[in-house]
This record gives sequence, structure tokens and C-alpha cells, in this order.
Amino acid sequence: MYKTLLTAIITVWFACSAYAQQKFTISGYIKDASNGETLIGANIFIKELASGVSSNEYGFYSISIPEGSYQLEYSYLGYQTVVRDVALTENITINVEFDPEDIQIEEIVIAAEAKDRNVSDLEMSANTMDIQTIQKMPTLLGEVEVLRSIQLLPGVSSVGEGASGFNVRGGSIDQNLVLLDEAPVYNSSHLFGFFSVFNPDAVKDIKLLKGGIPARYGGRLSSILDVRMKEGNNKKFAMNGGIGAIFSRLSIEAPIVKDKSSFIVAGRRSYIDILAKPFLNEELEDSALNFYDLTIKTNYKFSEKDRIYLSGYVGRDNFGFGDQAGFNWGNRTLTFRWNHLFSDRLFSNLTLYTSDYDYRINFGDEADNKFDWDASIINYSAKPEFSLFLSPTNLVRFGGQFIAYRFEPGNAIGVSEGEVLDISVDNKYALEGGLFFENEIDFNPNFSINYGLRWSYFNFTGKGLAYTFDDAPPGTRRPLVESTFFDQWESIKQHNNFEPRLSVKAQLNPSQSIKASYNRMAQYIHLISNTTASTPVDIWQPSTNNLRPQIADQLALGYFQNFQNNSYEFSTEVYYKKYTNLLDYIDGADILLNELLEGDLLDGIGRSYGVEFMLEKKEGPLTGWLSYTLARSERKIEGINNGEWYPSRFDQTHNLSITGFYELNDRWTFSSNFVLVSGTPTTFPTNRFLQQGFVIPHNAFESRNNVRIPVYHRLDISATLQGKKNKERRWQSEWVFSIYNVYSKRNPFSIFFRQKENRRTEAVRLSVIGNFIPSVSYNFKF
Amino acid sequence: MSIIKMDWKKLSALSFIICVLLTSCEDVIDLELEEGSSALVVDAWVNDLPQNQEIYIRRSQPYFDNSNPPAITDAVVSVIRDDGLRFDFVHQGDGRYVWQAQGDSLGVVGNSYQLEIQVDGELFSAQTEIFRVPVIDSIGVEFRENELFFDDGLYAQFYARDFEGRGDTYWIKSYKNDSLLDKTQEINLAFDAGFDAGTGIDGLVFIPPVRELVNPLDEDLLSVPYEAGDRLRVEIHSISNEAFNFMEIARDQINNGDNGIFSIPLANTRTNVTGQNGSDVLGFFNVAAITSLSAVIEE
Repeated sequence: MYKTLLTAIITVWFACSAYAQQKFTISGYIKDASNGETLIGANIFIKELASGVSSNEYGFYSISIPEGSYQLEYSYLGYQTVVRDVALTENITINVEFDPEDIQIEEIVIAAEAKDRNVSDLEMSANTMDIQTIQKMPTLLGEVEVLRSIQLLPGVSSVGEGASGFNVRGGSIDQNLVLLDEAPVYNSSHLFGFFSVFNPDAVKDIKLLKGGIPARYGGRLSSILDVRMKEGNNKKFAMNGGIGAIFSRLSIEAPIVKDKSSFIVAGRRSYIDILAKPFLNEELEDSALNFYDLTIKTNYKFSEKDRIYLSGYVGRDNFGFGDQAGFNWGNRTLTFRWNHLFSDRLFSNLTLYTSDYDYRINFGDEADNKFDWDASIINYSAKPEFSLFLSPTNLVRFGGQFIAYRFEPGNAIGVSEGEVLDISVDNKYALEGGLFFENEIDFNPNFSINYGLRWSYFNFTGKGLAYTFDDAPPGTRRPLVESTFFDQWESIKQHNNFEPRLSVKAQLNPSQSIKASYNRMAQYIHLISNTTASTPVDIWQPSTNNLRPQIADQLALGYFQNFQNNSYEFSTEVYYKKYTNLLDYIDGADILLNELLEGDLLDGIGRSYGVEFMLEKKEGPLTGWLSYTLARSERKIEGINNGEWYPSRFDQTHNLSITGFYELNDRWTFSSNFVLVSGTPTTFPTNRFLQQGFVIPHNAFESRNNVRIPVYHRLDISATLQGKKNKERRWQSEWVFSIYNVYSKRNPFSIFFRQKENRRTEAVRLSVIGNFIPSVSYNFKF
Repeated sequence: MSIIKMDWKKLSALSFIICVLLTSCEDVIDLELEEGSSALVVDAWVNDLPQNQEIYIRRSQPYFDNSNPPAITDAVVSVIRDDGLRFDFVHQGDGRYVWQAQGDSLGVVGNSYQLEIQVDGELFSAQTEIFRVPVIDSIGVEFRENELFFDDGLYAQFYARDFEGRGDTYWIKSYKNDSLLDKTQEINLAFDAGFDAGTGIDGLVFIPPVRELVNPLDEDLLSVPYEAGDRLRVEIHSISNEAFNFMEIARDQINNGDNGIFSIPLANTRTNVTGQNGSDVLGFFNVAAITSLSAVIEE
């Protein structure tokens, strides 16, 4: 494998130098003139060649073309197009700064090439959303929500309100790689699942990849959610803030050295504890119930060739009950990035990051009687990546990644009457690596291909005990046979996988195209969770000598069409996914503080398939989209459902959402969304029996997920009132009025069964949101 | 799931409730359930005390059927000890079969047993043995105030030390003024001195949440204090590992509704009874050794 990769790289290098004599390169960065933020995915179109490129995640672009005179059109939706005439006789740098459009959106004339991305881009199964769109959507309690927004896209769903994470194309929540400035975020939710950890004031752009995932990404089966933070205004001081029912937010950005360096600091804090106080009894009066997050980012441009970024995030949810008990959890990430131009054609980025998630639970306030429990996952990573712009139609990327993990599944110490009891689970260690090569070629404007290969590697190491288990009947606990001690970083079990990736686009005409993709993904770390909604105490676990890496293969085929001069975009995709080594749990599994957890795990196979439709209206006072998914997600695991196929917990047959925005005038904007989703599957008992006076539920068919909870539907609306438009004034503000769940639908999250007095059994519908929830928030900009 | 885990669940459920204080709701609903065939149910939890022993033979019923379960009145029920001694259980009505003790008992720790039930020409059987059980050293009572999950008042704990060696399993039963604490959340199981096999708490005094579950719980699962003069009896029943698994799954299932959005999937208990012809059978056979201690609550 190394050889193949090396050969490929060398070949490319030679090719590169061979061509270099005849060609010159135009390269540079693309930015927003008002605040200096780099723009991702801006289009650069060369009229004479009828081809173009777009700026990368760092706003960089590079085109190598033969000597000559060219007209270059730089365009980006919502910004005025910039045209440059170039007489190309040497390598040149053109940095472009776009001015945001002031005129009404329908009057904008932008090069068609910028607007037909739906059809012309090679990428499929991908959605990008800018923060402006997210900010316009109706909210729960006035809070702009990144993760709730993406659930309005086809193929993305959730098991219900308050559940953390999201499900993509029938995958579980831990199969999404959520990246915040390239660092993985292990728990993307605040307050269980009501809010995401991303502060909208600090987010520049989000991108979700559900399929056709290029080789540069790896490590999770279902999707990549790439969240990019703002760099901070490097032109002038700016402040953003908001006051809502749940949080207050404030962000400050400013240049440190004008045009060279800037920073952004954005923070949020909730004040539920203050609001909840009147409802709490005396005992809980001193309760802390809050969460906060802080996002910091700074960058420095040393020269046209070197630029560094440093970004950090810290967020925490904090529940404290007097001094009697506490429960808190949170993520931290720190990312350092260095963009370096080896030449105007070879762009490189080196990312170093550390990310961790941890939680802490404690009971008792006396030294002699207490219980402390914490757990975490910590990782350190280095990720060099290179982009080689061979020609406007040939882009090569290669690089690698190295990750070192420390898992602390549970440090738990109880002290009872002075007697100390340590029930900690040993730490686990692992190393993960990856190498990739990727080549994107436009053979002609109508046919493009991106092929690549990723080789991933995982090494489960000491220090610690490796356990060997005996076989057991399907679905029951496997007994321990022996345990063997390994030293620090001594290899216990190695895994590796080749992950081929391929995307193809065939454009039928300027407004129609067909795209297809295949990807294989491998996942080496797993979130251990057997509850309906994942809890903050669920732990991450590495692949081991007992637990194999999860693998998924996905095939997708799509048809893309734009109408009426690209003002409407339509896409439909069908996909089929096959999974191996999916995780499940024996009945009665102990997943917490269990040294022998691996004996309680089951593995099996899965499949999901579906068809997705999306129709989006992009222009005019009324914009929005309609998304519909028809899908199936199934599992087959020995020991569950008699070993037969059964629908997964997040299987949703139909998923429809309609999102609309209407700009009435300069000051009023309205938006609404409606969702209609099939009930998720659950398991109901069929019978009951008595045992020692207790009524025990029983499913006579031994089936799993044999019924569905009722259909879920909900309508949300919101109205935004902008302050009086006054160009001269720097202070700008808006009021946002929202109603979540307008018609007070009591949507079931789940249905559970309980026994009351006299052994009476009943079914209970649990609705997390049982009413409409109005809210008002105030946002300002300075 | 264990009790400390239940405590964290309480904590998170409480946190969660506060979050959605004004909007979350639970409604009892009518539901049609699939109907499964009725199975034979063996409810055979007997013990080593020199007193009458009872076994119930009934059938399972549709989940929402709140009537008394159908009783099997014509079964032939006996327990056979490893030395060949046979204890016959005689039907007394409503599926209740009783062995009359005459100063004797089923046996002692170390004896093993076979349960035999003849129903409609089919023989159902199960095996088990009597496992060791530690003595209860004492019951302590203290006045507790300003504690989370405890109203101010008198609370008891029992003290007993688990045996060295992993894999002892127990069911602790508590009686307040001679009535059993029989709320589903009051089911008190121990694996060694802790909650479950995985934690490996072995050979120690039972950990506090196990010790404290001798205090009754109210509707909101808060402990209810004892009054001075109340009587408390604590019994430790030794149960087999399979019986522990059975009751652990049963308890987690019965109380699953307390978990809100963090509920676990429905799981069936695993019986240790098998039918000769493979007919459906549910329930469990266990012979426990029991130790107990009583105390009168004093301030």
C-alpha cells in the first residue's frame, strides 16, 4: 500500500514539474471585504477556457493554465462579482475581496457558473448551509440552532426532541464525525439534546457530507459534519450579541494587526437556573442548572505563503444540587493550523489538535461518605494535508493523520464511613493512523471524477488488561476466560482497512446532471449506548481484540436539475448502505463501570437504503426548500429478534420537511418550517406474568422494534423585525419572535409501560414538548 | 443498571425534568398490542427456612389484562433434593402449591435441587442449589437532614459483609412493620457487595445504596423516613447468578418508565425452567438461604 501511494505521489510530482514549463499559475485568497473573513467555495471562472475552480476551506485557490490573456470572473452568492483581466506571462497572485451585495437579492446578476453548483459540482450527498440561513429559521426558545437546522435536510433525522445528536441515512449518532475547525467534538449537545454546542455567532459555515465522502475524511461510517468557525474581523472592531429566553450571547471580533491578524471571542451562558428557581423546593434551591460555551479563535498572516490559526472551544453543562450532588459534562477542543504554500500550486495545511469530552458525577459532601465518578475520552492528533493544483481541471490531494487516544471509561471512587472503594475501570489506549490520496479530474466540463483511497490503521495498546471471553449462547453474557497484561503502548490488537472512494459526475446539459458515488468507511471508536436517546454518561470505547471496527459501504446515485435560470434547484438521490460489525448489547447489559463490558456486546450486520428528494427555491422574496426521504434502516444481530432483520431504532419510513422564508420588506422577515415524520420503531410487550408479586412484561415473539410510535408532526413559525435601516449607524438590532410547535401537538418521544397499584398495567405516552413554546429574543450588532 | 446508576439516572431525570419543566408531559393512552400465546408461568422462589414453602403455577396473560392470571390447578409439583428426598407441593387453590413443613426444611447451603412439574402430560423441570449467604451484623439508624433524595428524618442501613470470591448474588428484602417493601423500585439486588458483575466490588460490606434501600420510597422515589417505634426486618436471600440476571432484567424493565428519554429496549427475562416437549414456559426456580435481622427504630 505504501508503495502504491508513494508511486502515485511521485508520478504526480513528475507530472507537475513536466507541465510547469508550459504553464503559469494564478493563485490567491478570497475574502469578504467588510470583515476580512476568507470565503469557502467561491467560484473562479475562466471565460476563455470555459472552466473554473473554487476556493478551498481556507479561501485559497490556484489555477495553472498556459500563457495567454484571460478574463477571470470571481463570484460568490450574495456578493458582487469581480472581473479581472489578466495577461498571463508569469506566476501571479490575485487576492480578491468581495463586497457584500447591498442591492435586493433579485437584482443581483451573478455569473451563472456560480449558481449552478447543484448541477455542475462533482459533490453529491452534500449540503452546505451558511449561518445566515440558519439564523433565519424558527427556533426553540429563541436560540439559533445548527444541529436542528440540518435535520431539515433529506436523509438527516433524530429520534426526538431532547435526544442528542442526529442520524444520517440510517446510521447511529456516533457514526457522524462532527468537526469543529477540524477537531472532533464527541458530544455535540448542550442540555441533553436541546441545543447544540456550536455558538451561531462564531460559526462561519457548515457542511454535511452524507455520501460520496472523499478520501481525505475518515473515521466514521455515516457522515462528516464540518463546522468552520469565523476567523474574526480583521478590518474593524465588531460586536454581536443576543438576549433570549435561555441564553445570552456575546461575541467580539477585531483586528490585532490590520489585514494580518484578528481574533474572535464568542461566549454564551444559559440562565435556566434563574428561571427555574421558583419551581424548585427548598432542598434544590441552591441548584446550579446552566451551561455555557466559549469559542476563541485567532489567526496571523506571516506572509502570502504562511498563515496560522489557533482556535479553541470549551463548553460545559452543569447541574448541581446544593452541595449534595453534581453532574456536569463538556467538550474542549484546541486546534492549531498552519497553511503553507510550498509553491503557488502546492497548498498545504498542517493541523494539530487535541479534543476531549468528559463528565463528572459526585454525591455527598462529607469526606467520609461520598461518591465521585468521572470519565473521559482524550485525543491528540496531527494531520498534514496537501493540495496540488495541477491544472484547472486536475486537483490532487494527499496527506495523512495520526491520532493518539486515551479512554478513561470510569474513575469511580466511593467512600463509605471512611472505607474507600475503588470501582474504576482501567484506562484504555489506542493509536489511529490514516494515509490518503485523492485525485479530482474534470475530463471536460461535462465529465468529472474524484477517485481516492484511504488506508486506515488502528492499534489497541496497553497499558492495561486484554480480556479473552468464551462463547455463549447468542444474546447472553460471554464469560471471561483470561486476562493478559500489556505495557504502555504495547500492541494488543491491530486493525487496518483500505477504503476506496469514488465520485463521478456526468453533466447532460447546463441544467441537468447525473452523479454517482461509492465509499467505504471504517470506524474504530464506538459510543456505547443502549438507551433511546444517548445520555451524557455514555462512554466511547476503542476497537479491541474482542470488538472489531465497524465498516460501511455506500453506493449512491443522483439526478440534479436546476430550473428557471438556476432559481430552483432539484435533486434526488438513491443510496444503499451495507454495514458490518455494528454494535448491540445483550439483554441486561451493564454498560457503565463495567470492566468486562466487551462480554456484554454483540455484533451484527446492517443495511439502509432510501431515496431522497430536495427542491429548493433560491431567489425572490419567498425562498425555502422541501425535503422528503423515503428510507429503511435495518439490523441483523445474532441474539436479537431471533436473529432476523429488524428496523433500527432510528428507522423512519417517511420524513418530510418544508422550510420557507419570506421577506415582506426591509424590516420584516417571516419563516416557518413544518415536519412530518413516521413514528420510530419500538418494542412493545405482548404479555405479562407474575413473579413474586411483580408484573413482568414479556414479548412472546422475542421480537425487537415490532411496532411504531405514532407519526410526528410539528409546525414552527418565526418573525424577525429589523431595526430601522440606517447606514450611518453602526448599531443594528433585530427582534425575533418564534413559536415552536404552533398547534401544541403532543408528539410522543416514546411509549412506555408501567404497573400501578393492584398490579394494574398501563401504557404511557411521553411527550418531551407538550405545548407550543413562544419566545422572543433580541439580537444586536455593533 | 445498578442503583448508583439509578442515582445518576434520578439525577439526570431530575435535571431533565427541570429543563422541560413547563412542557413535558405523560399521558396514559389506550393501545392495541399484538397478542402472544399464553405460556406456563412458574413462580418458585423457595428457601431454607423451616416453614411452609409455596410455588405458584399459572399462565401468562395479555399485557393489559388486569384480571388475576389463569391458575393451573391440576399440576403435580415436587422438589427433589440431591440426596433423593422428595418434597411434594400440594395445590391449595388459585395455582398455589404448598409444601407443609413439620419443623424441617428443604435443606442447607450446598444442597442442590430439581423442580419437577407435571402439567397436561408434559414434564417441566429446573435445577438449582442453595448458595451461601452472609449474616447481617447490625442495623444502624441515624437522623439525616438536608440531604438530596432524603427528607429530614430517621433512616436505617443494614451492615453485612459479602464473602470473598466473586460471583455471590443476593436479593435483599425489607419489611416495615411486617409488611414487605414491594414497590418495583424497592427491589434490592446485589452482586457481591455491589450492583453488578462488572464493578467487581467483592468481599466488602454492602455498598451504601444497597444498605440504604431498606428505607421505603415514596411516589417520587424519595426515601421515606421511619418513625420511632417502627419495626424493620431485613433479610438477605442468596440467589443463583441466573436468578440475579432474571430479576435484574425484570426490575430494569418494570422501572423503565422512570428513565424518560433514556429508556432501554424491551428485554425478556430468561427462565431456568424447561419443558420436556419445548412448550413455552416463563418464571424462575430458586432455593435461597436466608439470614435476617430485626430492629426497632429508636431516635
